[in-house]
Amino acid sequence: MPMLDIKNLTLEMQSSDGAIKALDKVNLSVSSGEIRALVGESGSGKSLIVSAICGALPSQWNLTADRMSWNGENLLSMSVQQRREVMRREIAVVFQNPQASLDPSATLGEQLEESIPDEFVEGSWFWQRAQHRKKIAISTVHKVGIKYHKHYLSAFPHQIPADIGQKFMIAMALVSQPKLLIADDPTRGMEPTTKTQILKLFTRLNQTRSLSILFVSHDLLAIASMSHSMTVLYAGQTVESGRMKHIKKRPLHPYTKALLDSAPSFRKDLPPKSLLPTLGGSIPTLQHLPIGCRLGPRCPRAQRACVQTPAVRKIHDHNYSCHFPLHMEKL
Amino acid sequence: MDIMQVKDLTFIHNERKRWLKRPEVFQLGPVNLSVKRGETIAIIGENRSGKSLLAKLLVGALPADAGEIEINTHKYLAKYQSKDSQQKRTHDIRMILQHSSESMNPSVPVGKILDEPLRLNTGLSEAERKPIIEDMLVKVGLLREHYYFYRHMLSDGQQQRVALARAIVLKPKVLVADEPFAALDPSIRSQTVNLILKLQQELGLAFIFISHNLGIVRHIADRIIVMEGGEIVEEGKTETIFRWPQHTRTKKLVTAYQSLVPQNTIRE
Amino acid sequence: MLGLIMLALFVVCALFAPIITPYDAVEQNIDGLLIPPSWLANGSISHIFGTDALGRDLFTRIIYGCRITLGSAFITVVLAMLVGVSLGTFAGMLRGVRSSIVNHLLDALMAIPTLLIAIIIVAILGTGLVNSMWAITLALIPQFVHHTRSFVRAEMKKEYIVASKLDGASRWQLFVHSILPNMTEMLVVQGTLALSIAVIDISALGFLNLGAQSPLPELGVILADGLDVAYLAPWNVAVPGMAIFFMVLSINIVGDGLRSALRKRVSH
Repeated sequence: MPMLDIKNLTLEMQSSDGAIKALDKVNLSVSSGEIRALVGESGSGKSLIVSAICGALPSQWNLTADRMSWNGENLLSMSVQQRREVMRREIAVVFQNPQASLDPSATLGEQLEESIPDEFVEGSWFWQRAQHRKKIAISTVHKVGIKYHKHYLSAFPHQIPADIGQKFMIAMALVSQPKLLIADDPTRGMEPTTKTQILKLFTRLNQTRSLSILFVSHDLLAIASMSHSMTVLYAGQTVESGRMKHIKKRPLHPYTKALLDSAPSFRKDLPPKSLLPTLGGSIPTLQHLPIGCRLGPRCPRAQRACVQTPAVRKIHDHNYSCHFPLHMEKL
Repeated sequence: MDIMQVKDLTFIHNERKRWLKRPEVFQLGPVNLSVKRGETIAIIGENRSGKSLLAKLLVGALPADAGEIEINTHKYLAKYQSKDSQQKRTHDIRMILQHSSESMNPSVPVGKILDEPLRLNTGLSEAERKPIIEDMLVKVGLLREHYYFYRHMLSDGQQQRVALARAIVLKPKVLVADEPFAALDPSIRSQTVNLILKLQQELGLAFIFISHNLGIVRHIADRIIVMEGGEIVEEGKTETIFRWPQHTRTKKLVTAYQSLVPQNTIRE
Repeated sequence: MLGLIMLALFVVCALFAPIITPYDAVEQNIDGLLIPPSWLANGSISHIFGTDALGRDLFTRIIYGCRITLGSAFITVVLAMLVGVSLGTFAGMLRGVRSSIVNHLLDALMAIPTLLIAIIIVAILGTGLVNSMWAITLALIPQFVHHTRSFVRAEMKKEYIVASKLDGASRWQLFVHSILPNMTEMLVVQGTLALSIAVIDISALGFLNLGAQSPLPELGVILADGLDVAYLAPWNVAVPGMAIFFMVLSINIVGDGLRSALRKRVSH
């Protein structure tokens, strides 16, 4: 049974032109011990989904779903208190720019110790508790691979390099021993060596502690190297989802194929300095969302039927929403 | 046939001795480099290795301490910044910055932004400049109507194209780009890469770019330069560097890249 | 919207005073002393706001008063803006010790309320409307210098200025084409703030008999004249007071509105 199960999530906002569906029937599920990638470019709504899971959306936006459950409990019908409990203990989030997520006026050690939940700290006298907090902080920081804990725990956020910063954010997330870690584009703008370190860390955490990870990004190379499964999002609609191996070998939706094409490392046969295959046009803005399948205007295989939003179809665990998927000939 | 030659380019950044602080010295170079016509060179390396600094020195945004740059038979002493009138390199080498939105003035329409380099560097009248600008807009894939648009009306990809148009409107021989693809989404990135390849073909432009995205580097670069601590530690043809890296820094970067490439994934 | 209408009303009064007023501003009418305004029982429509202790029609005096107060405040602000912005720009574009001196000296002046500075200057120069205008101009310059300097300094670091410099723009060209278009928001904000301060200061100086002198129909002077008969004929105090109040209110509302409109235009 999947831990996080979202089915037909729709997010409507009111604007001067009427209701806009920022998310349109999104399906997403994360099973225990799985690394799922949520792939989408800017404007696809991936950050909105993260906010929806956390319950951090403004209340005037209308959120409906057939199913949005965590471990069997419906997230939408929970009270605020329960929701917050879930967020605190079971789900943890790591964001993009570590510098922006850290309090610039407190040292790293202080921030980490502060975020350790009370239940894990033993000791009846306050100095015992403070000592235990320190111990937990040091051991967590070691787990993520920061070696010189003395130096870094007493440093301020602006003094540390980016890779230590991101590892520290992961440490802060791990302190509450969550079951699901949501990573919102954590490796954006990082150089290759740092990126590999962070990705290796994620893989290790997933294997040793069976921590499920929801990895949100548009960096296909990073995703392809470590995710078990992937959900592709375009302009608020899920277009394809399934196991990484299958999608890489045989993408069914034209958009997935375009994404894979944009990273030249996926194909060995591309002559150097040749033009990359692309989709023309650009991502639609919220004000100008196309009707039906939102890739319609840009899709080379689009036909009249594409004005209807395609239903989700399945081939062996591989879901796709397309009227003319790539394994069928264009009619 | 070399279009650009750089000799002994040096930059020494010396922070003045301050109370209770040791002076930090960062030395770049001496750098020797040559670029052929239509060639694409990628500069890779860790952060703070001096890549952006090198780019700025080549273009003349910062004055170097020593060195000579020869582009298209024009010799420039790197000591002088590009703005001094006798050193204007604008027809020979131009630069695009990483964040295209920051390089556009928010209160100035696109037409005027593209007009500025022409106005300051050529003796053409306004009536002669407008068709050149419109031509350039079409060449980079925008519409003639974008002449009147402001920055906030354009998407990321379109802003990047304006930055590109601004750089090539003076028909330079060399284009320098500091992480031009980092802030772009994959589909826009592919479009921009294709655009640059197309322009290279049409104008015979040499393209020097800094990037962390080794996949793109491997695809479009002819030669690669690896920098560390202000020095060029290795340089050579793309495939040579990727298959037989020599220097430790290069080895680190290439292994990091290889570990992501599908053939040998981390997990399997 | 309401603010704009109010302000427009005041501007119309200021500009067309001689045409709309039924009487002469200083003509005294001994027969009609302290006639109550038209909405009270024994008032008459021929004197809409009544008359003052010397028989002068209050309506006429108020309208001329608007002209003098608003007009001189406006001139004051424009002058202060010109001087302040030029000084601030020089200070902002230069670097080093020279700009710091100018800045810190004038910042110190900003700590003193403008009215106080104006009174000091009037004490030196002597009373009269023109002298009070000079005094307030001088008192308003420091804030323009300060805001312009910090704005220009922040702008100079932005990437699009660097790009323009690379295109070959000189400092003056940079200012006119790249920095000035972005300054409008700041100038509007500071200008309206300064205008409301100037209106209050001019009326205050007039009230204290340090600025405009009786019988000049400046709003502050009218207020001071009305004080003598405040219990007998309260409208002499109420009407000029309300006029000053609404004038400042409308300036602030319009300034606020302009600011939000400009901000929406630049950042979507």
